[in-house]
Amino acid sequence: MKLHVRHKTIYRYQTPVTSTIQYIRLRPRNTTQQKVLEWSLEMPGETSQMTDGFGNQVTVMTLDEPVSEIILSAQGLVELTARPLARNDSPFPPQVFLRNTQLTQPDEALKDFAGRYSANKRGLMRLMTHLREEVTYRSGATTVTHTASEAFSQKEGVCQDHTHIFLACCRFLGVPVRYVSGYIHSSDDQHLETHAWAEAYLGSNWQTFDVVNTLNAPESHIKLAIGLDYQDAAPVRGVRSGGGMETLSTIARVSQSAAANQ
Amino acid sequence: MLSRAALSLFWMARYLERAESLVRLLDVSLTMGLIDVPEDRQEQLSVPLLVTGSRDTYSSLHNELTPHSLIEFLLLDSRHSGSVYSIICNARDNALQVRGNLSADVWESINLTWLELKEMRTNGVTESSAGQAFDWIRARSHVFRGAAYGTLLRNDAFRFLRLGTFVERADTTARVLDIRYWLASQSDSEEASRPFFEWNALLQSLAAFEAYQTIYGYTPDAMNVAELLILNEDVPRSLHACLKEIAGLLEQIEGDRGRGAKRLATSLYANVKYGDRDYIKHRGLGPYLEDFIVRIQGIADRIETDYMGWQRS
Amino acid sequence: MRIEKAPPTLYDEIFDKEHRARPHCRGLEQWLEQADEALLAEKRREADVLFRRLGVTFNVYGEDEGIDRLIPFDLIPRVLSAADWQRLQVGLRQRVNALNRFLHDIYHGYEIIRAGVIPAEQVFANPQYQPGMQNLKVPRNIYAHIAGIDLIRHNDGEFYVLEDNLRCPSGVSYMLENRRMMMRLFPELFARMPVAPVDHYPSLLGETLKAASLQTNPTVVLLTPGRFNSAYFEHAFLARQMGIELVEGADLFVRENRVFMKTTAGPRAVDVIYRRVDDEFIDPLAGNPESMLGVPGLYAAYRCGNVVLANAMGNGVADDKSIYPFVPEMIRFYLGEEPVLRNVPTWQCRLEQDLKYVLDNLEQLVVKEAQGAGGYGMLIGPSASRAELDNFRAALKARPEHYIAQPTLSLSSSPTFVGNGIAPRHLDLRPFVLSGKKVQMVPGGLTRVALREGSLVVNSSQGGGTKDTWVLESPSC
Repeated sequence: MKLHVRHKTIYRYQTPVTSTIQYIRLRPRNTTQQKVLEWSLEMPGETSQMTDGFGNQVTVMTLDEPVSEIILSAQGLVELTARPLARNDSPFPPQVFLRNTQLTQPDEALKDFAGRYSANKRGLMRLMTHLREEVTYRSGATTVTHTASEAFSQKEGVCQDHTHIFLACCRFLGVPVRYVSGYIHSSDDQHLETHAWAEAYLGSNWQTFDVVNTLNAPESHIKLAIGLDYQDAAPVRGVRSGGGMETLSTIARVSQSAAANQ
Repeated sequence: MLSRAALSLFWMARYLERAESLVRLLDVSLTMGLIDVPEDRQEQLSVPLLVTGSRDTYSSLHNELTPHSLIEFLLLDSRHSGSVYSIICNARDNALQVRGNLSADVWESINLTWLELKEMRTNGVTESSAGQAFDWIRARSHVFRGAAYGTLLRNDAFRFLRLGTFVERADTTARVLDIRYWLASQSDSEEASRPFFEWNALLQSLAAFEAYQTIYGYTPDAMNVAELLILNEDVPRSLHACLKEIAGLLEQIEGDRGRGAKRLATSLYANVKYGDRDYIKHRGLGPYLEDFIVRIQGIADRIETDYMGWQRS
Repeated sequence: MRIEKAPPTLYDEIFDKEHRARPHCRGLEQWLEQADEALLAEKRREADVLFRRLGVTFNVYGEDEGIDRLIPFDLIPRVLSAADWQRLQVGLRQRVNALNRFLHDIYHGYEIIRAGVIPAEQVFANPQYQPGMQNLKVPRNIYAHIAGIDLIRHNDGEFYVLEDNLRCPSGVSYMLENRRMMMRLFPELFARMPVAPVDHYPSLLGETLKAASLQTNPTVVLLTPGRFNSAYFEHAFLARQMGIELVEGADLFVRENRVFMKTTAGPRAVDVIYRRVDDEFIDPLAGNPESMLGVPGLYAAYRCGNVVLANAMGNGVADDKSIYPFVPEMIRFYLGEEPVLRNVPTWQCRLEQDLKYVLDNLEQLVVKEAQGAGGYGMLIGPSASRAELDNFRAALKARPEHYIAQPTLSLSSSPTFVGNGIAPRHLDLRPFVLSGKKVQMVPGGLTRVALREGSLVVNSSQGGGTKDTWVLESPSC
C-alpha cells in the first residue's frame, strides 16, 4: 500500500517571534515496514540534520528574523510493506525501554490496574482493550505535559495519553516498550492529526499496540520517531524568544495514493 | 569577551564610582550645612538628594531633613536603592558574576568592602563618626582602583571596567555642576558670599579644589569653575578628561560592534576638546550641561546595546 | 599541646598503634607538640577571615539564598607517604581507564554485557543510562575527563574506593585554596617537610580540556548554573585560573549545529564545554524542557560532533551505586589486570539473598540509595535509632532495587584541632583524576573530615570540614 501524506502545521503568534530553535522529527526513516518514496519538508529559517540516539532523523531549525507565523509542511509518499517488525531494529538493547520517565511513572492506581494483566501477548491485548474502554478519547482533554497517571485518573485523553498509560503498565510488568509517533491512514480519512502508538518487546520481537484503535498490527501506520516517551519522539520541540500567546493549527491528511490502485 | 561579563564589569565599576561620588557629595553638603546660614542649611542638605534624584524616596521615609537621617538614608538604608550600602551590594553582585574575569586582588577589594560595610551597618553611623565612614569609603575606592590598575590584564575586561568608571564620573560631574550652578544663580544680590560657597562646595565634592587654586589662584567664579571642570583635560574629574578616556577606550575594544557608541563618544569628545569658554557662555551653562547629561546617557545606552545587547536569548 | 590519640582499633594516619608518629610524620609530630593552643586558635580565626574575604563559601540546599557559609577548615594537614601515593596513583589510573572503557562500551558494542560480566538490565534500564549517547563518537573515547574518586582507609591500613564521581565532581578548589592557606599560615612547616605541590592542577585541567577536542587550538569555556549554585566559587575560580570564559546557558547559542558564545566582538565559536550543569538540564529540547540553565540546540551540536562536553553526557550510569560492585570485574575485563584499589564489599538489595542478609544485619550495615548524592538518603546502622532502622527496613522491602548495603567501615582518623586540644577525627580522600592525552593527577586531593566526635559523615552539608592533603615526596638520599 502506498500512502500519500500532506501534513501542515501553522503556529501563529500574538507578537512577533524574534528567534527560535526547534528539533523537528517529521522525516520518516526507511525500515523493513516502510519505504519512503518521496519526502519533502519545508519550513522557514536555517536547517541542519541530526540523528538522535534513538536513530530518529531530526531537523534542527533556527530562525532569527522576526516572524508572526511559522509554517511547517511535510509531504511525501510512503510505501508500506506489511512485513512484521524486525527483531533488531533498535540501535540498542530492548532493556533501555524498561525504564519509566517522568511522563510514564505510574501512581498506585495505575499500578493496581496494570497488575491485573500478565506480561505476555494475550495479557497485553486485554490490557489494551480495557485501557481503551477505561480512558475515553477526547481531543483537547490533555496537554503535552500530562503524565500517564494524570490522564488515567481523569479517564480521558488523546493518543499520546493512551500510549503513555500503556507504556507505564508494560514497564510496570517488566516488558520493554517504546513510544512511537507517526501518521495513520484511516479508511474514512477522518484522522487529521499525527498519531502515537506503542511497540512492546515480547519474546524476542517488537509488537505494535495502537491503543486508540485497539490494533495489534501496523495496518496503515507510518513511523516518524521512537523514544521512551513523547518528549523523545515529539514531532516538534522548540523554544522561542518573543511571540506571546501561540495558536496552533495542524492538519495531517493521509490518503491512499492513486498510484497504488493501478 | 563575553557580553554578559562586559555588562557586569561596566556596572560594577559604575556602582563603585557612584558610591565614592555620593560620599564626596554627602561629606561636602554636611560640612556646608554647618557653615552656611541656618535658613540655607536645608538647601545644602538637599543637594545630594537633588543630584541623585532621590528626594521623593527620602520624603517617603523621613518627615524631616536632618543630618542624621540624611546620613542614615544615603549611607546605610537598604530600602533606598541609591544608598551607598545598596550600591556596594550591587557592585559586589556584579563582581560575583564576573569573578572569572577579576584578579584575586580586585575581587577581594570589593568583597572586603562589602563585608566591612555590612559590619558598619550593624554598628550604625552617627553624625560624629560619619567623617570616618566617608574617609573609609573613599579609601576603599582607592584600593579598588589601585588593585584594578595594578593587577588587571589590559584587555577588554579592563576596558569595559574603565568605561564604567568614566561614564559614571562624567555623569556625576555634569550633574553636580548643574545643581551647584543652579543654586548659585538663585542667590540674591545682597548674599554676595553665596556663589562663593557654592563653587567652593562644588570643587570640594569633585576633589578639584586644589586644582582650581593651582590654576586660577583666586576666588572661584562661575566661568572659571566651568572651564576647569568641563574643558580642562588635566583635571581627573573634568568632562574633557572623562570623554578622552571613553573615546580612547572604545577605540581599543576588539571587534566592530561598537560603531554607534564610538560615533557618539567621539562627537561628544570633540565638543569638550574643541569647546571654549565663549561657546559655553553663549549656549548658557545650564542648557550646555543638560544637553551633556542627555548625551552621556546616550553613550552609556549605546555601549550596552552595541556590545552587550543580543536579541536572541 | 595535649594530643588525644586514636584507640588501637582505628587506623590513624599520623600515629601508629603504639601512638608513635609514623616515620614520614615525625616532622608533623614535632610541630604539633610545640604548637600552642592559643596560636592555633588565632590561626584558625585568621583562616576564617581570609576564606570569607576570598569568598570561599557555599550555599546549603534548602537554605535561604545569599547565606554564604564557610566549610570549616582544619589546620592540621592530612599526610600521605610517598609510597602510599605511589600505589594510589597506579590504582586510580587503572580504575579511571577501566571506567572510561566501560562507558565507551555500553554506548557502542556492549562487549561486557555480551560476555555476561554485567547483567544487561543493570546497565540499560538504569535511569542514568543516556540513550542519546548511543553510537556517538567522542574524541579519544574519553567520557570522564575529570573524575573524583572517593577513598577511605580501613583499619587494615588499606585504601578502599567508596564511590566514583564521573559527572561533575567538585571540591578541587578547596584542595587548592587549602594549600594556599596553609602556606600562608605556616610557611615554616613547608620548610620542614617535603610536601609535593598541587598548584599546577588548573594547568593540567586546561591541558586535559584542550585535549578533549581534536582541534589544534580549541576554545574552551566553563558552563556554570550560575552564582546561586553551591559550587559557583569553584567554577569562577577554575575559569580564572585557566583563563577561560565562565559562561551561563544564556551566554551561548546554537546555529547550524555549532555552539557560539555572545561576545562583545560578536559570536565566537566554542569547541569544548567544561560543563558543571547536569545532563538533564543541558538542553531543554533534549532533556528537561523547563531547564533555564542549558542551551537549546546544544545536544544537536554535541551529537553532530561539533562540540565536546567534559564530562560527557550519560556518565552517571558508571558511577551509580548499583554499577559500583562491578568495577573490579570491569578492570579485569577491559585491562586484563587485577584491581589495585579495593572495592568495599557491597550487598545488592535487588538480589534476594543479599536483601535477606541486609535485613538480618541492618544494625551493622550502612545502607545507601543506588541513585543519590549528598548523604541524605543513607542509614548508618550502628548509630541509627530504632525508628530509623524500622523506616529503612520498610523502604528496603518496598523498593529493594533502590538500595545497596555495605559493612560499616572504620574510616581512618587523623589528628584534628577541636578547640580544646587535638583529637582524632574520621576522614576520607577525593583525588581528582584527569584523562586527556594521558591520565594525570596532582599528588593529593580533597580530604574531608567528620568534625563531630565519632561521626563517619564527612559531607560538608552534614557537619564535615576539610583539611589540606600532603603527599610527601620521597626523601632524597
